[in-house]
Amino acid sequence: MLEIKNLHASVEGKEILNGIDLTVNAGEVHAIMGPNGSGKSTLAQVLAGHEGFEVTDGSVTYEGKDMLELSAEDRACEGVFLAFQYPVEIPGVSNTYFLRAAVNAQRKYHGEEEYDAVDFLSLVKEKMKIVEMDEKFLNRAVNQGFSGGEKKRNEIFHMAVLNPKLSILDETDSGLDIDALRIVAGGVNKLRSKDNAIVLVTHYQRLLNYIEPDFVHVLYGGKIVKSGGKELALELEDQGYDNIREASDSAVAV
Amino acid sequence: MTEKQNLSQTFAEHFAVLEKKLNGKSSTPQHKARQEAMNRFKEVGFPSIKDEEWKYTSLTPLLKVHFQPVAEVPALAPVEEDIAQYRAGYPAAAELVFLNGAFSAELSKIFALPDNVFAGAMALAMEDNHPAIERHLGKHVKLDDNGFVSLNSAFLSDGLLIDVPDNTQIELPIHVIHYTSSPGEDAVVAHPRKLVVAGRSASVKIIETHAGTAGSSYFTNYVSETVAADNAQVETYLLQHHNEDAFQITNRYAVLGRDTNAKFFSFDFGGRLVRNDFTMVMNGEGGEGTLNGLFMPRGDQHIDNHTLIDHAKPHCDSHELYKGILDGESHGVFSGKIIVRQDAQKTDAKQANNNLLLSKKALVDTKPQLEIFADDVKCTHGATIGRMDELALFYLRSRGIPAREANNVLSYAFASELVEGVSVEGLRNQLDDYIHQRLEESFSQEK
Ligand SMILES: Nc1ncnc2c1ncn2[C@@H]1O[C@H](COP(=O)(O)OP(=O)(O)OP(=O)(O)O)[C@@H](O)[C@H]1O
Ligand SMILES: [Mg+2]
Repeated sequence: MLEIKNLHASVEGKEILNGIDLTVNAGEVHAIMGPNGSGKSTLAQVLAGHEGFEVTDGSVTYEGKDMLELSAEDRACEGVFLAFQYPVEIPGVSNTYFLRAAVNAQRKYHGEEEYDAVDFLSLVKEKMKIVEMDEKFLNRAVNQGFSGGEKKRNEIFHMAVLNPKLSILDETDSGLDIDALRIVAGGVNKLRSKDNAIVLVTHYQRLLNYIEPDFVHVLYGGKIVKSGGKELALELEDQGYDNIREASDSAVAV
Repeated sequence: MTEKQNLSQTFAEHFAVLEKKLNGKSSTPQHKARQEAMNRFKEVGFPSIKDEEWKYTSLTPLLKVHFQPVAEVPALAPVEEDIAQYRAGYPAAAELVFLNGAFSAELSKIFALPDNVFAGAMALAMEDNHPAIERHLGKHVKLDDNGFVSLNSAFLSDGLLIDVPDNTQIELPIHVIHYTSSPGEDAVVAHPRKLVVAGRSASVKIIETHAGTAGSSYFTNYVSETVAADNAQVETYLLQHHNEDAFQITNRYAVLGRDTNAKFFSFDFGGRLVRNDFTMVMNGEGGEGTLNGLFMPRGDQHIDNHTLIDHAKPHCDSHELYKGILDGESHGVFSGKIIVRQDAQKTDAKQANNNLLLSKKALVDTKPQLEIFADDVKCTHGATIGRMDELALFYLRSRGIPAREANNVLSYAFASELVEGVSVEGLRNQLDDYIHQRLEESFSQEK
């Protein structure tokens, strides 16, 4: 589904990603871990089409297409979804209005008929159950005045409504209490299928008890320095990143 | 002769033409008032950018236009096609049409007005010695403020009077169209006038649309007075849809009584050079006044809003919110002064001006001013000038919303607060559509 080769990206002349290789197939869940500032969010945003980052080298192929050629909105319409580490507040735009605009834009892209307000509402109400969200959040401005946990839940709610093929969840678990984590992770599990893939960016092995990954990667200094199965996450939880830092820093030194 | 003297001279000549036509009526008190106003105009003249209140707005483009005398403009045949698009399209108590300031009985319609309400031609009210004219017309505006008020008063012969007696409520809005018709070669200048008198515990909503002949650079010099007595409720919406070659100067005054609740909204879309002055006086305890405006210049339009909220009495609240969305090489101005007089303890005044620049060359000057002479008051003010939030834009796009639509949604959201404050549903929906359409035009152009 997704093939990233030697991806380099920079912002304002500063190189942040320097040679990422990653292949994600349908049905798989990949976890990406790594210390603060290692480039996890940058990778997620580059994949979603953020124009603030310049891709200086490498390629990204998604469903056989050159993904780097597509605009952010076209990537979304092709089934890419990014749950933001810091979901953006949009004053003056209600959650339902936003979602309906998004769903209809995607339907239009595929030549499908747009939803009217009534049909859309019934779709949305059904999807709200997945993240146990209260209906009052529908009419509130997107993320405005939402608590941290509500914002993350809202991201998964958007994911449920948009039904993406490739979901990139950037620290959707960070800062959640145990109930919220259970709900968010439960939501993701309900949306998991053999036809779609999920990339989870996280700092905590705890999430992986709820969402079991097929692969775990460690991103450090803008590169994937280690990959393994879910036991790698346990190992990192135990030992931290010190071993990895030493290994890769000395590798650079050599 | 400078351009300024030139145009002043032209207006003096226009006045002479008018006087000749008066034919024996020149000694009436009304004409005496006109003469006084004309004399004042000759003294005060047009403001210049050296004037502190006019430093952001140069009248040069206006002064260059050649205007034909009002009195020589042939009587206008009422033209339904011209104004059809400005008709309410939602339930209204009356629809009153004014052509170049004069009431058009043919184009106006009364649907459901209480018998004791006067809503129509000021000329008629003057003839009948309507008490509202005697008591209020010209009693609240200040001739000295700038030449435009005196000019309007010098040419005052008709206009709109709405008089709502004590304890009378009008449910549906009164819809008014001020149309400046300028079909000929020389531009027309019109001096429309309005007086609204709302009695004790009366309530009325007024929606006024200002527009004119497409493609002509006419000049509309508007003056309005609103007097709202104790416990009255007044809502006024001004929709300015002039073409982008037209000039509009407005001077509006509102005086609020005890426990009065008054709301004034302006939506400025058109005009090449627009200057709006609004003075709201909180003249009775417990009054609440709202002054809201949205202005959306583009191209090389210039829209200047000057407001003054004068808290003269204690325990009054005022809310002021002006928002600008500016595109092209347009220039917007907001200057908002709040005066809290010594007597006006427990004043609660909130003022904000927020501006969104859609292009690199658009420009806005904003100048909030507070003058507080009382010690137990709450006053807040703030002004912002910003561009589109790139992160928000990315958020919308990353969910599939195309850039153009995302820009539209976010700009609309910026203005939505003002639209949501409109209590007339039909108007709210129209504004919603119109603002979206206008933004669509902005974002469909390559920048
Ligand atoms: N817009 C930007 N301008 C300048 N530097 C940036 C920008 N965005 C990210 N960076 C820098 O790039 C590096 C990687 O940031 P990124 O947000 O991708 O890290 P992360 O792995 O997601 O960290 P965290 O775990 O804290 O979320 C950091 O050093 C960060 O400061
Ligand atoms: Mg991050």
